[in-house]
Amino acid sequence: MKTLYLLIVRFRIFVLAAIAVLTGYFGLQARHLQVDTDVLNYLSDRDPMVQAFKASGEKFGSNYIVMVALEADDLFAPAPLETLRQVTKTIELTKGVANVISLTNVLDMQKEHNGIVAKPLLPEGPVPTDAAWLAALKKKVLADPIYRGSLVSPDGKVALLTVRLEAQASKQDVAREIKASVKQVGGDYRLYFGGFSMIMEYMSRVITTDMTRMVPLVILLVGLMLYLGFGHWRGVLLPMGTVFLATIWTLGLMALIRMPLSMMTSAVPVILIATGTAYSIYLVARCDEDPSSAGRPPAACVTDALVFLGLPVIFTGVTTAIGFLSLMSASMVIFKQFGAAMCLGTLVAAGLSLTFVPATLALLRSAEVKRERPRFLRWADGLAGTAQYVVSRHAGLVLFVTGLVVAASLASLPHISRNVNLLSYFPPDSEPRVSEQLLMEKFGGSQIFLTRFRAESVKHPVVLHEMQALQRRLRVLPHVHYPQAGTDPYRLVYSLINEKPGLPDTVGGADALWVLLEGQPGLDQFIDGAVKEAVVMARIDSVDNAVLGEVIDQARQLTKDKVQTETAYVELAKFDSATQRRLFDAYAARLAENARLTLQFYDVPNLPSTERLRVALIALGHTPPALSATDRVTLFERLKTYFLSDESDLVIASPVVAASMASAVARLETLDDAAIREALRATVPAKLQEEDPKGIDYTLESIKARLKEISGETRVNAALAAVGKEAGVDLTDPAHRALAVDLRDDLAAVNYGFVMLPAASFKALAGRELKDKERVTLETDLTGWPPLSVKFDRELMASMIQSIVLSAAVVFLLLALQLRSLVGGLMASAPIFINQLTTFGVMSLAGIPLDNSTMMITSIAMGIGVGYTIQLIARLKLEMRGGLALPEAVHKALGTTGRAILINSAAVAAGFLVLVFSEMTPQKRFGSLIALTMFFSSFGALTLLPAIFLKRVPAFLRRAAGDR
Amino acid sequence: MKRVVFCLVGLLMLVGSPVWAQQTADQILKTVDDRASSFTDMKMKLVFTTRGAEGASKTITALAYQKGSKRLYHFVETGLAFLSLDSDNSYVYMPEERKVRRIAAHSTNQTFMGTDYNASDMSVVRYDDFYTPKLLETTANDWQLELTPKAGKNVAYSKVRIRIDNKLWVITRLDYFNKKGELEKTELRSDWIKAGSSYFPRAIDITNVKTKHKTTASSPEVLINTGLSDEMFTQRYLKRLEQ
Repeated sequence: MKTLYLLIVRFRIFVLAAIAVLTGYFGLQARHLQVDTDVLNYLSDRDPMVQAFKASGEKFGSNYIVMVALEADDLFAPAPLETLRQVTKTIELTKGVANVISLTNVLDMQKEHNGIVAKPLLPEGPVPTDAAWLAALKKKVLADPIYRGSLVSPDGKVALLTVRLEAQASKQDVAREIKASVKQVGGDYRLYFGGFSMIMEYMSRVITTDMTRMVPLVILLVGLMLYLGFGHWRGVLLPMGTVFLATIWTLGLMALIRMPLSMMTSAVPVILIATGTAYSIYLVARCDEDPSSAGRPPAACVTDALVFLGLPVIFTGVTTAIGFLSLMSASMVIFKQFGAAMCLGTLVAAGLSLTFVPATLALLRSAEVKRERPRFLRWADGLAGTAQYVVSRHAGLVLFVTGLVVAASLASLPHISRNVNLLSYFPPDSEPRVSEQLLMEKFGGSQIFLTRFRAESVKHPVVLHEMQALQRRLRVLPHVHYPQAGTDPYRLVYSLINEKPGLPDTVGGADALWVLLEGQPGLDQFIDGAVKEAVVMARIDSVDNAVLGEVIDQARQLTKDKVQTETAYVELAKFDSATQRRLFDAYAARLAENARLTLQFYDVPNLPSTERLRVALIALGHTPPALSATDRVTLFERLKTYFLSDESDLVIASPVVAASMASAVARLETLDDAAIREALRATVPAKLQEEDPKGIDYTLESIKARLKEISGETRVNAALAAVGKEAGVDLTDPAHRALAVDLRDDLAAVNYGFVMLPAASFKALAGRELKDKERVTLETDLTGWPPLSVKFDRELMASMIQSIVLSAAVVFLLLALQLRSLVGGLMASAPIFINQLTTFGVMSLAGIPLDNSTMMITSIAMGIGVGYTIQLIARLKLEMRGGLALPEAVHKALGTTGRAILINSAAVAAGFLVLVFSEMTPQKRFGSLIALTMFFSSFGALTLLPAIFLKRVPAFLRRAAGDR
Repeated sequence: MKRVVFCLVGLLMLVGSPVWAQQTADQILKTVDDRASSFTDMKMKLVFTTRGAEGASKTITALAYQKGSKRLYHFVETGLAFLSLDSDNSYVYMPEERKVRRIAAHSTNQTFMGTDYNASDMSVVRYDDFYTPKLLETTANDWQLELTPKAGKNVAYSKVRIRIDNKLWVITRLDYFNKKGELEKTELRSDWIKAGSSYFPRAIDITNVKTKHKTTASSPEVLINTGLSDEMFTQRYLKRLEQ
């Protein structure tokens, strides 16, 4: 090695020229560095949960949704509605926006003139100023679950705009543009911006501001402290220059291996200041304090310093680099990338310290340094002196105090909290937190999780019903709000078209509705184009990971236990009456459960058991009842209207004839095909029968459809009354209208021609095996950001322990190897491990949660600790080889290398404390924890390590003493 | 759907003449529109194939009938039928319930049956009713016009660029630009056949450049002036289509 050092010093010009050329090359490469701000790319594609999250986000656009909220004292006034319309239009016209839905452009589906009409809720043109009209609009919107909680807050004060960004758009750029343009148009009102892209936009803006404002300050402060430590500019420029060059090389290398500049890797230059300056500092300090340097050629001093420090620097660099590599065990890609980039950066910084620094020092005309520094520049000597005093006089006390600190830290470890939630990175009064708070209070939050359904066709009645049942179950879970699914538009259009509640129970009915629904705005958020996947979305009103974890666990369990993954889908009419009865009775349990969930959601006080409700529903019987007198009057009225309509299968112009035909049918005792046909033949004018011979047959089919409709309504009403009776609620009371509407949806299944039962139960009920075509299978899983956040949160501890154990093992093994002693390795590692433990202890006491930034601190602390330990041991060995006894060697080492350690730790700590003034919580934590780590590391190296050695002299030091 | 019908409407072949190269944009568009409505009635079989970005495809078969402004579509796979009497009066027949229901949509952006057509495409019968043309380019074979919406006309686009074959007087390509001025979708018409005195494209390919979703419409057979009765275009008739 010495030859190599000699060559570096001898060919210093070439070394510096080579460094300059390589710096130029890496600088040019660094220009090709890609910037990756898409947070989705930060997640590892290997993780199945991440895969599901990305896939569902791509498919249903849930990863590209931003939310804008506009708050007014009363939203339902012309001015705020007009502003809302302008805001909507402004967002619509923003490049990169796929679509936006708000109160002012949403299509309102209504029943109108024997059909449905979809028209904007707000008419085109100026917003009407008529108070009555506005009041009616408010009443309608707040009463409709489609709008309340989705587009308008239940108190009518906040409007929500849901904006979907184009997949290929730069999310943060579009978010930034939306924010700027919306503030311009809607500036008179309180505006809020939510969603992932908005959070990332805010975060990158704050980080950029912080970095541009604070990093120069960090550099200045570190530089100042270095100056105060060394008393000359070389001591400032060489360490900082090394880090500067290392940064250019690292960025160039990153570009070469196509590693992007992310939110994390952009911090590499700053962190290199903390870890990379140390190597140069030791060299400069060594040259400073070399007693033989006065009058000697600079090259000779530098070579001596290299011979002494070369191996320790290489060893420290490699150990620190491996420490950073331990971040490869993290779950997020950005941390893996950060670990790899820092590994590169550390090796480069160590390499440059052994080339750039000595070559430059050797080039200088004189290595002579002013020995007598002014008093204010002697703070490091003072502190080193204190360490010398404490260690020499109170080594036992140091060990005792350390023992207490370790015990206290261990005791506090169980109380350390975790938090990986992005929103917790911001102060409570920051834009994202304020927006999230509003979204939580008014719209159930912006934390959306999805239950994904996969099936051969998700528009199959079985899948639709399973999704609706899951919605019912989710909405009674604490903290869960507004579960939405593709079944919602299905149910709406089904009820408007067919004038009855429920969902289609036949495949044909579901297919026909799909033809009407397909391509409708917003539907692709719930059902994919291939109709193979659908989602039920729900919001969680908390960002607390404990709450998120609880909700996700419940939702996952519920999905696992309650969603039927194999369903027998059979037509009742194909079984004998007894089997029909058994099948219906079994199916009634499902209806009863849904009804009970609905009663629970509406906080009905006397909640009946599912079994009681099931018994009440079974009592209705499995076949439609005979028509009552009232039903016959209804039948008469409907038939009369139908006969006179354009839809009538026979052209009946005369109301008298229509009434006669309707009356003849409605009076029939037995309403079978033959009797109805006979009644029609008797009442339809002969001429008409002659002109349209098939007319009566068509009319018969239409009459049967109406008969089925009326008996179905009667049966649902009976089921509703039975449930109301069991629950002690009068469901005809307008106060319970919403409850009655939902219950009708649940109970509509009493009329279904098909039943949907667990496949496993079918054979016992029907007495035969289930046919393949009667079996419907589906799969479900839970995805979205909350499940992922919970997973990261839970993995954080394991990941961190893994990372710490790995780093610790590497540190211990390498130290043991270098010192050629296992016990020595353990003794030398002890301060480093205690430093880690104490940092966690302080975090626990200060309420600083474990998060992703603390993982960085762990690696940095390990690297710094190893550096200090190795340098101090190297010095001790040198002094003992030189003939000093251990106490004197300790005294000497603390006064020399100890001083360099103090300069390094004080400079870095002071510089990074500036980050405490950052707006971002992780930056604050990062700054304060780095400072803390520097303190503990230097304390460990300057007091604990020598105290341990003084109490028990390790073999490697005895060997060094023997070498003299 | 109107748009499909419209684009399949044949145009009388006119041998290319230098005179036409001198036509103004208004005259060119008017002639295209006039020739597009040169039949009494028409019926055809339409096969739509839609394909999403992820490759999933689906086929819809419809029988389409037209007389004047009235149109009737019978979707073979589902039995569903649509009747459009004018832009305000459309009806749907739901076979499961044997019911006819009036439907109306006011959104020009609403897509139709999962295809890449939208309500705006369906309502345009004559381009010169909705758009003001500007001649962009004249080549030996065709003209390129840029159509911008007339004031008060509710269409989904900020402009449409069309290419017109100057021999057949048919539109061979349409580029639709959204309200932001971005190209949203491209429609190509090809494989022209003659029915009576009209030309029809047997293949229409629409690609949404944003979503990569594609729709191919093919019409293997087109019959015109077959004497369709007015009775066909009634709600009553919708219920008899499935038989």
